[in-house]
Parts: sequence; structure tokens; C-alpha cells
Amino acid sequence: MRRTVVAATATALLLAGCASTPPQATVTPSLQAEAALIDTQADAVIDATFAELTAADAARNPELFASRVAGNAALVRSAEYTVASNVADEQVSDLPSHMQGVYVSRSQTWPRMLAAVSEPPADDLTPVVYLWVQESVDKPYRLVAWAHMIPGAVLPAMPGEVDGAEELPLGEDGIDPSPRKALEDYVEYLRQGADSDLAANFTEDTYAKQLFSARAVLADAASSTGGAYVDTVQPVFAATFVLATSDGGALIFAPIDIASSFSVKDATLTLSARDAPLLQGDATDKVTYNYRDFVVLSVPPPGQSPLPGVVAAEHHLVSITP
Amino acid sequence: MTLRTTAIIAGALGLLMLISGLIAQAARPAHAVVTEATLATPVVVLGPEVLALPELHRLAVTADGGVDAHTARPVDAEAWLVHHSATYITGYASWEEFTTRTASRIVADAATPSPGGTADAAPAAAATPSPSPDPAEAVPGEESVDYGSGDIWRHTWTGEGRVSLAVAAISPGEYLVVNSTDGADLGTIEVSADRQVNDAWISPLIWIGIALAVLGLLAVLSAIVDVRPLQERVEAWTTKRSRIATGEDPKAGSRRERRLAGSTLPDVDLEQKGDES
Repeated sequence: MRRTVVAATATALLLAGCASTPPQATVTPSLQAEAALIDTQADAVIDATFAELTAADAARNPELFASRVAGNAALVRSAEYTVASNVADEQVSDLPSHMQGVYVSRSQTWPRMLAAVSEPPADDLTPVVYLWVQESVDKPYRLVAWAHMIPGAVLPAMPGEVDGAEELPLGEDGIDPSPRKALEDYVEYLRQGADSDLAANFTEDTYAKQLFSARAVLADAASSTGGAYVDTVQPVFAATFVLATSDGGALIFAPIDIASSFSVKDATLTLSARDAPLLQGDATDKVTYNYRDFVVLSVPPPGQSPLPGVVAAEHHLVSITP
Repeated sequence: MTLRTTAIIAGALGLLMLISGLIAQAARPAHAVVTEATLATPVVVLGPEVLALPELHRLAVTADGGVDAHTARPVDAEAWLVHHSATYITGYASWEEFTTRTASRIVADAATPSPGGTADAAPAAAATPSPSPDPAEAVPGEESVDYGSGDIWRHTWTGEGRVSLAVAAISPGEYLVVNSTDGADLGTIEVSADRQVNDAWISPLIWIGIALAVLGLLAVLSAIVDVRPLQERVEAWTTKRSRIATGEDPKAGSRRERRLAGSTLPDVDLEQKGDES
């Protein structure tokens, strides 16, 4: 009897114990949202940026750009603060904080970008395209550029915020022209002017027109005094980002540095009241206007008829040097 | 083998089943189980394959100070973890223990060693012990508390001394990264899970065992107790109820009388009826 009870006890314990092996982690589920930022993250970045921008605007103090505004955006806004502080009736540009579209990448490396398109700031103003960049995993997304849309331009459809848009390399060969070629050609077109053969490769845009118009006026003014006017246009490939559009095209976010040198002979240079606060030093017979422009260039997918064209661009004066 | 013997054997078997069932019920592990581990790093990580285990319900991490829990894409979490010492919970060794691995990041002291340094064996008699470390002094190997930007975190839970969250709140495929806010080592991690216990057989075993044991008990009792007087009374009562064996005449007009009398077809005089026609 004793043996039987022992056997029954052992059997019961065995049955009770064997019934509960711990689970084994073997299957890794796939990610539901591939985008680098989900909507709440993107909203948090945008809200923090405009909170910082609002505080800095109120004090007109660029030192308040602590973590969310950097690069060319900080330079441009600082220049606006300088002008607004020294020139009556000059205001900083209106940057709306309400977005009608957010473009998120699915990049798995750094630096990576976030772009957004605002609501129109006013009836007579076009929406603003913003660009944020995260340099590394432990750095915040920082607003580095913005530009108003070209009147009449249409941004291509972009992948949603769940999957995000693929970040393309500048040399992406699945698009014709490649993003690098399109940007190089556009910059060369800006250098050569309206008569350039490259003009036929792009749709018309008011940014280039205004640049060429100002160049013609200033070149005439300089030459009338025996001086010269020279625009030096340089793309910044290291800070350029490309996103794939939904239809297989590309959207290029490109900062462009422009230095406009104006020199005179036998004449006196006088800066306008608006430009004077940005002069670093004394203007003698030559000044250089330094711009940090931002251009958003759309390249259609292969086989589609529209030409590449600029959908947003802005000419930002940041300083004037002798 | 008599019926009584069979019943006694069944009773013995039932008793064994009852004992086995009761022991199994007492030894049965609880469905809800909490597995705990002590942590020796400021960060603890659970990968998506662990968080995908359907048995997991909630998890909690304790620390002396503040605790933050975040979810992130795997690629982002892994890039962030490169710079921090962390304990990775990789699964269960048993219901009482996790399998873990620890990745330690050593941060070099800011002071660079001098190649021209001289060894001095003199005792540091001039040194005075300090009861508390100077917070301004960098301790070799100690990590920075600066965790950098939180932009990669998809969701964040914060707590003071303890943070607790439901595993279901974490989207599939994401990492869970929990860190102390002050850079000190975390205390413990507790994960509650619903253990799958195959115990459906215990209750039937007990009830069947009880039934058989009762049957066997009755058989044993019948062998011990003399029930013949009772049997006689039962038989007498049965005979009385039947009234067949006693020889009593049935009551006049009763169904029994008619049944005993047999067929009761009426007599018909056929000849007399034919003469009339």
C-alpha cells in the first residue's frame, strides 16, 4: 500500500509539473509601422520646434535656439531678428505651425530627415515647406531649413506616415535624371541664367526668375560704375536629402549657398536700410551678400512627361560681408 | 469473482485516484506567475521576440529613483543601446528565472595617461579620506547620465521608483527599453505571465475517485455488517405486496378475478335465432 501511495504521489507531481514549461521566444514579429517617426513622434518634434521658435521670436534672441532650431534655419532667423530689431516696421517672416502634410522617412541610418508642409500663412502667401534633420541617434530633430512653395506648384503624393518614404541616395539610378544630376543641372541653370540651355530641362519657377531679374539689375548697376556683380551658386550635397515619392519619382530637399558679390569703382556703396544691419564690417567698394537658400526639387518618375521642377524655394539673406 | 469483490477493488482504485487528484491539486502551479530578476545595469531591454510571447501580461521595473520606459524601432533601439550598459532579457530559463545577457559599455576617464609618468611608492599619507565623493570628479568607467534626445522613442512611460505597463500596450515588433533617470543601476524587473497549466484532468479524477471509493466502502460495509434480517423483511414485504403466494381468493368483481376466470365471451344460441327466420 505504501508503495502504491508513493507511486500515485510521484505520478501526480509529475503530471502537475510537466504541464507548465515556460514559453520560448522564437518568433520575432514584424514591425507594424516602418516609418522612423510615427505621427505622435512627428507631432512632438513639430510642437517642440515651434515652442522654441515662439520663445525666441518673442525675445528676438537666437540664443534661445537650444535644441530644435539649427543650421541655416537658425542663421536665417537670426538675420531676421537683426533686421527686425534695427528697422522699423520690419517683421520676421510668418512661419505657420499647423501642418497639412508630414513627410517621414523610413531611414535606418543617420542623418535622417523629416519634412512638413504648413497651411498657408495668409491668403496671399503659399504654404511653407520645413525640413528637420536628426544627425545621430542621440540628437534631436532640428529645423534646418524652410521655404515657401512656388505659386501654382504641386507637391507629389508621398507615402503615408505608417510606412514612411524611402530615403534615396543622390546617385539613385532608378530615376532619370538622378537626384544628383537634377540638382547639378538646376544649380548650373541658376549660374548660367535664363538663357541657359538647361532651362529647357526644368519647369519655370518664380525663384529662378527673381534671381535672374535681380542679377540683371545689379549687374547693370555695378557695370555702370565700372564694377561687377557675380553670383556664386554652390549646392550642399552633404546636407541634401532625397525622398522617394509614391509614384516612383523623387523629392529633393537641397540647401544652396549663394554669394552675390557687388563691387563698384569710383563710386560709394550704400546699403539699403534693411540690409545695413546685416553688414559685418565696413562697406567700401565691394560687398558680398551671403544667402542660405533652400530649394525643393521634384523629379517625376521615369516615363512621365512633366519636367523636373522646383516646388518650393526661398532666397534667404543671412549676412553681408565686405 | 463476486460483485462485492469487484466493488472493493474498484473502491481501492478510486481511493488511489482520489489521493492522486488531491496531491496533484495541491502541487498544481498557479496560473498567474511573476518572474523576477535583479538588475545591475541602468538599462534593461526586452526584444520584440520576448514581448511577443502570448503568456506575458504586465511588467514592472523598479529603481531607487525615476524610471523611464520607452518603445522604439529595433534599429533605433539598437543604435541607442550601443552607448549604454544594458541587461537584455532574452527569454525564460524557467518560470522562476529569465535568461539574460549583459552588455557593458566602458567610458574612459577624461584624463589621459601621461607617458612620462613616474611610479611613486610612497604611501599617500597626506591624503585625507572624504566621507562623500566629490560630484564634480569623474569616476573612471562611470557612465554619463545624459541619455540624449528622446525623439526615437515611440511611446514613453515614466514612474518614480517603479514603472509598470501592460505588455499589450507595446506594438508588435518594437523594443522596450527601460532606464533609470539618474544613471544608477535599476532594481528589479518583474514580469507577470499567465502560465498554461494542464490541470483539467484533476477534478474528474477526484470525483471519479470519490465515487469509486464510496462504492468500495459500501462493499466493505456489506461484508462486515449482517444484513440477513433486513433481507428477510424486504422479502416478506415484497411477498405481501404480490399476494400471489399466500393463496387468498381474489375479491369478487376485481380485475384479478376476471383475469383468473379466463375468457368471458358471451354465449349465443344460434339455432333458436334461425328458427325464427
